[in-house]
Amino acid sequence: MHDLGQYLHHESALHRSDPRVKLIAVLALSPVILHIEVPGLIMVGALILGAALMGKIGPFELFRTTRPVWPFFMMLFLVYILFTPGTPLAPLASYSIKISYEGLHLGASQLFRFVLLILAASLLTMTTSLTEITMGLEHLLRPLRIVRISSHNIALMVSMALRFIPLLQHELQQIQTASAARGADFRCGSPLDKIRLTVYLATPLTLNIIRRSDELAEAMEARGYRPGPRTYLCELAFSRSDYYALGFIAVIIMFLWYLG
Amino acid sequence: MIRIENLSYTYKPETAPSLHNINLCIGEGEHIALIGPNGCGKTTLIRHLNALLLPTGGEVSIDGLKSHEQRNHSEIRRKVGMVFQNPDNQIVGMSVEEDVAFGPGNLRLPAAEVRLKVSKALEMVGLSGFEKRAPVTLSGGEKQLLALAGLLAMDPGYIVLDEATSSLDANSKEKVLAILKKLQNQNITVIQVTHNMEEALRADRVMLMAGGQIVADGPAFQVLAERERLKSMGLAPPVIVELMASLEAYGHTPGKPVITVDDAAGEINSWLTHEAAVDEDYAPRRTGGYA
Repeated sequence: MHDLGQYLHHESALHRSDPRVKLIAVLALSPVILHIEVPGLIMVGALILGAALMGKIGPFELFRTTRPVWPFFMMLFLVYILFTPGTPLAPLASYSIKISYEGLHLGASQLFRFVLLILAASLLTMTTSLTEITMGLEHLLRPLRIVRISSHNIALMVSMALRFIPLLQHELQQIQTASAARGADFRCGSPLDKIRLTVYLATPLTLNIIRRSDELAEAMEARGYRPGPRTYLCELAFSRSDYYALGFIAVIIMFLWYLG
Repeated sequence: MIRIENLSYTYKPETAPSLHNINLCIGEGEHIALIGPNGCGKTTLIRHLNALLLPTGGEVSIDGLKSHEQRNHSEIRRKVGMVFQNPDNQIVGMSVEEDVAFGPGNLRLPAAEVRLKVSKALEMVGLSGFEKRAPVTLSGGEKQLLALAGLLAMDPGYIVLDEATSSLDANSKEKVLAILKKLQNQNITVIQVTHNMEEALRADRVMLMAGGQIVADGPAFQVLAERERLKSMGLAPPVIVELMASLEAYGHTPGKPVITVDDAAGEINSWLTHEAAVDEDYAPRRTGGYA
């Protein structure tokens, strides 16, 4: 099973394409997905599916990445179908719970939208390494230097945050194990107990994060870090196919937007 | 050369100084072990070598570059590399090669030069082929080697290790120490803070710190042979030193400094041979007597 953000290395045109193109595609597609209606959404779905196949990623493999968010989606769907006024569904018309056609349509289309957003983001992270994403972000944010915001610093912060996620997960597990060894087992007890025990986790975890960031800052300084531009291992450069891809994305997005 | 003159450092003005009037000279290609009880100022001292801390009194200069001058910091940090105790807290990159490239990248060298330095550094520590691996997938020993590669990519003249081998298993520790020996042979100075006296015994020079001062500085066999002083500071003398002291209690004084297991084995062997020869001398007379 693949979690959100897990990069899968394959030799494909999608993997080889410039990370900026993929970032722009996802960023531009997101408002379009929220704006358009079902026919457009079906087209976006087909587009994502096509891109996934181009990246040698199976449709089921891609779809599995949405699994962690399904409980949230289900709750959202329930809220839409239960609380949207409109014509009640005929078979349920005599019951106290009213489900309307409009609610069902709105819930399904919103669910479709969110699934597409997650799939687009997953496809980006499955075909682009974190290093490439960070570098792409750094290049895309370079115009911010006009307002004296350093894209290098933002990229470094992002890469550092991403690097520390597995470390913090490991640390959290260690604290949980240590707490369990002293009788505070997080697997048992009522939800209220679990909330109370979370407070005991939060304190050592926060302190460890502060200590780690302090040591990391010192290690970075010791390695000659100073804010501002630095040399990267490889510099990004648009190829001809990247320009074609950008053009194609622009046309598709304009078409979808006007299709509505 | 690292030159420290009358170095004093106080963390907070109202507290006692953590370092007090330290004078030192460290030459090229030396292997130095810095030992002392907890809180004696070892870490505070080595942080001055990399300009992470600046003296509140006295002066630190690295190859003539004075640490209190801000403009020298970049060059000082290139010359003096530091490896900390916890490798996880010093790895910056999301891949091995990216992390090694962090230092040369900060020096704003051309990308081709950075790539060359990365590949050379990884080869030196035996991590070639690990370029694309995520640091989180490496073992503790490999992470420490990665941290070392990150420094080597900056072509340092001095490498300072702050208890960098304390959390490693025996194999990884040997690997790191073997690399340090190789670096020393390339005229790179190695300064190692350690609580492991066996490791300290491998150094050419040992500095013993207590109460923010250097109380002994000399060849390893000399400083570490002062068993009583070490014990009074809560430090355990090396096993070999203890062994030789026990032999002395049996009336044998080693003719030369004994610092390695091989030295000790040779010394014990020669002592036993000598004792056996003495027994042989007495044996015929004794046998005759009995007869």
